[in-house]
Amino acid sequence: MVNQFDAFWKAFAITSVIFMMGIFVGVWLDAGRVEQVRDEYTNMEIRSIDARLQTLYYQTLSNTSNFCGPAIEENLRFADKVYEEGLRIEQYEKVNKLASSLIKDKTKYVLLKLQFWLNCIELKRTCKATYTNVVYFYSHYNTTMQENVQSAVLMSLKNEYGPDLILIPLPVDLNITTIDIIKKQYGIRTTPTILIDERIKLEGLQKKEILEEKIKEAKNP
Amino acid sequence: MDLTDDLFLFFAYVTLYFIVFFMLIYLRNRGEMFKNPVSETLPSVTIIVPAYNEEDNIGATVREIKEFSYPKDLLEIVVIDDGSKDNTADAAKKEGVTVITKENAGKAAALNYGIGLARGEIVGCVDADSYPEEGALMQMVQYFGDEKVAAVTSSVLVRNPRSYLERLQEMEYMLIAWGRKLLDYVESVYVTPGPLSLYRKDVLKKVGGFDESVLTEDIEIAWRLQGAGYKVRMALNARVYTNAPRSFAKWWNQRLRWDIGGIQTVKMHNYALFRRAYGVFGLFIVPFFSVSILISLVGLGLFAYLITTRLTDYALFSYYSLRAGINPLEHYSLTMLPNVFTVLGLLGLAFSVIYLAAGLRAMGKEIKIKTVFDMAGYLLPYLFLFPIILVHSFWRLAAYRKQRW
Repeated sequence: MVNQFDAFWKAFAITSVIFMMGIFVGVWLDAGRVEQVRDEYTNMEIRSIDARLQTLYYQTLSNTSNFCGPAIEENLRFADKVYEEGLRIEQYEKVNKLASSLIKDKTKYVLLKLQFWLNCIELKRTCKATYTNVVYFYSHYNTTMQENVQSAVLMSLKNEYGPDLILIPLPVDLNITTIDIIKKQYGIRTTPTILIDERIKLEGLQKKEILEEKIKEAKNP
Repeated sequence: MDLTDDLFLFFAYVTLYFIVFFMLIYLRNRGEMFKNPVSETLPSVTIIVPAYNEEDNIGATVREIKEFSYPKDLLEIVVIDDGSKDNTADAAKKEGVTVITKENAGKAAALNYGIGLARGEIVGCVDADSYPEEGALMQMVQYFGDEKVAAVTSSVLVRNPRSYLERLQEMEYMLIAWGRKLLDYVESVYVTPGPLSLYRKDVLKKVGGFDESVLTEDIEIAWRLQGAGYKVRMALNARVYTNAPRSFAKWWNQRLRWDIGGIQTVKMHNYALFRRAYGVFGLFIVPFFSVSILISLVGLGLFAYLITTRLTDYALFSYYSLRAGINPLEHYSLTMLPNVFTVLGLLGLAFSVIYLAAGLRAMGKEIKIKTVFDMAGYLLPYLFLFPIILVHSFWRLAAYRKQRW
């Protein structure tokens, strides 16, 4: 019988090549998603700067009443986009196994969301915009099932209310100084916590009907 | 990446390795697999048929053995009736062969008793519910031309498969025979199955015969022979047909017995694990068998973990969703984007299908639409049951009481 024992190490070499090819495809898929997130972030950043410039321009040089309509419209478009991108990053985070962490990208998005929130507050004040700001505080590193359900409840509300509700999810444990200040200011010690129009704070998992009531209450104080 | 991710990668790598290993050997030897060496002389052979309550099968089995195309003066047939409660002995006597009735003591003891009486240089063991082909013996004895060969085994195939379970077993037996021949090329045949195997009598006696304390004496003896430095060979073209279990419960019990016996054998021979002194036996057979057990358990553990965490997640999500006033069915989302695990999983599946198709084709099975469905059934529910049986085996082993037949 011919000696066939070289099959052991040849199989090892071939398997390693196939395995590495599989790993490379995995890395390529992960990297593609990271690239997509980063591309979209650049677009969002441009739109965010544009929106802030618009606000600044109209506040400085132009008539406020002409500015409100387009500014609110742009803000709402931006709101939807920020929200969609947030969900996408969450999904990619779950799936990606080999690419570098998306945590920095997520942090940048959170900063963008913070700017956006401040813009929403500003527009409500300046233009009497009628939407409701719902800020949702959750934990990034220790997400609980209650938070997952709370996200689902808020998504359901967002789908129902459309542009009348601005949903801004903010992770509390990404070491962002601005969020730490907000937490201190509003006394946020637990997650999930919901802040409606910067006035009504709700701690723990909230029922959909209670949130609907509170949103109504916020609209008609 | 967490521990489950690492385990998955380990599982994927080892599985891929063995598929590649087998395919590599197959591609090298595909033209030679059904050829046997030619020996100048023919040895005398005693075929031992151990039987316990085999009244319905023993006659047909003995008739098939008598049909062996082998010089009649070199062939002796001995039926060992292991204290049957039915008319096994009478049914065997009707066929005109030597029948010895003894007190019931289990299959291995019956075989050892038969070896003590055998006059042939070679002893063959044929299960009482198995039916060898006419040319099988002649093809197998050729391997004994090599003095280091202590045992030769055959292709065990399913007789008259009708039901779905039998068809899956038919497929499995074909793949086992094919795989055993592939292992033969690296001197790693790890079992000499009961339906038809031959042994050099003096070597068998020298190593102490069959071990009566294990449930799979056919695995244990193959290991002991190789541990003692002898070779075990496989004649792929020597076929024997056996009755496969028809009911799921019988199938489960048979597998349970195989697994318990396998574990007992690993435990008994772990002294050779990775020991150079034992050659291929220590460096491949024992580790291969042990890794197979480990891989099965890791695979099942991973699967069970993933299913359990998903179900627990879903249960908790449903509970909190109902409390929060939303429909859980509408809001529970599963992320279905491809990642490295999807890629490696698909690669593993593709290689498994190729391996399966190559094995079945090599064994002469035509790949039809029905075969494709059977292959799907084989790869998914059928193979999936194996690690569960293994866990059951460990459980039973803990409370093991000697089982016979």
